[in-house]
Amino acid sequence: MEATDLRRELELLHRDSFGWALSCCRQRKDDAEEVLQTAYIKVLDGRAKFEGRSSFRTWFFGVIRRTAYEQRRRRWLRDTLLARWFAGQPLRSDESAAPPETGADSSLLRSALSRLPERQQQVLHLVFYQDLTVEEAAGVLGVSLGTARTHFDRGKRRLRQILAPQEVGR
Amino acid sequence: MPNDRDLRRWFADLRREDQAHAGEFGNLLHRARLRANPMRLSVWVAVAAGLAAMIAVVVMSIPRSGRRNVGSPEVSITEWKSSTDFLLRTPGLELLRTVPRIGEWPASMRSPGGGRKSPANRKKSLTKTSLEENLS
Repeated sequence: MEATDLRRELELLHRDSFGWALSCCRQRKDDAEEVLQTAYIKVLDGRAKFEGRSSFRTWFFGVIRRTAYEQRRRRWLRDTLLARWFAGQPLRSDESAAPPETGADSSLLRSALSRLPERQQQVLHLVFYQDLTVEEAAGVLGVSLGTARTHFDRGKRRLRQILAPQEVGR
Repeated sequence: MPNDRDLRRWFADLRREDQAHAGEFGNLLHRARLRANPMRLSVWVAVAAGLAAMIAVVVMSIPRSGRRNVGSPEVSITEWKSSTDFLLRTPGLELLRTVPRIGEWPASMRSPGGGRKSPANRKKSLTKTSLEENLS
């Protein structure tokens, strides 16, 4: 795929990619933007190569997921090994970063999602938010279809239990 | 208990809200480029080469008189003397440097009172005394 084609594909996917990056970064907007920037550079510089084995969307979401994981690991190393060691600064708390401002219903859903394990959150996001199939979600997460299905079923059941008393949007 | 349709609807609302916060693609890509390439490697190489050239020019421009004068190797080797050379000059060193002669003692081996005689003189004096004793 040519660089101009890649750029056009990335531009078409931009808004959905941002939503997925938010999900991978636990709803932190700044981190999501940073991850997305790095993922764009990876693709446009050829460090991440699309080989056509899946759809471009599924492949690029996988790139975003790996980039978010790398960023989180780098940040953890920096925070724990440097800041904590030399400056005695407190660790950056995951809960301290505020998610984007949202309506009341959306914050209920976000809050409910944040109570699920990460993998369950991600499968639910990919299926309900991004309209991917469970099989495509498995491809993005790099797990087997069976594993993705298990995460999906458990996540959905748990999310319903959490949301049942509140009934978002009603 | 919410069903799949409810979940899809709520997620769709969430999606609309998130997308309102997503910046422009071009803007994000521009910032990504700035972040990824603050200064290209070739620029760093050029700066390093320039610095090296400047240092070389400065070193070459220092006058020769300012540098340490080592001199030619031949002169320096032949004229050089160790500062601790005197420690090697031990008493009786001239014995090793001269060929000894029979009947002569070097000045340094003589006793201060001059009482010590060479073997030849001692022999002479011994024969003289024994003759005198025999005669008496």
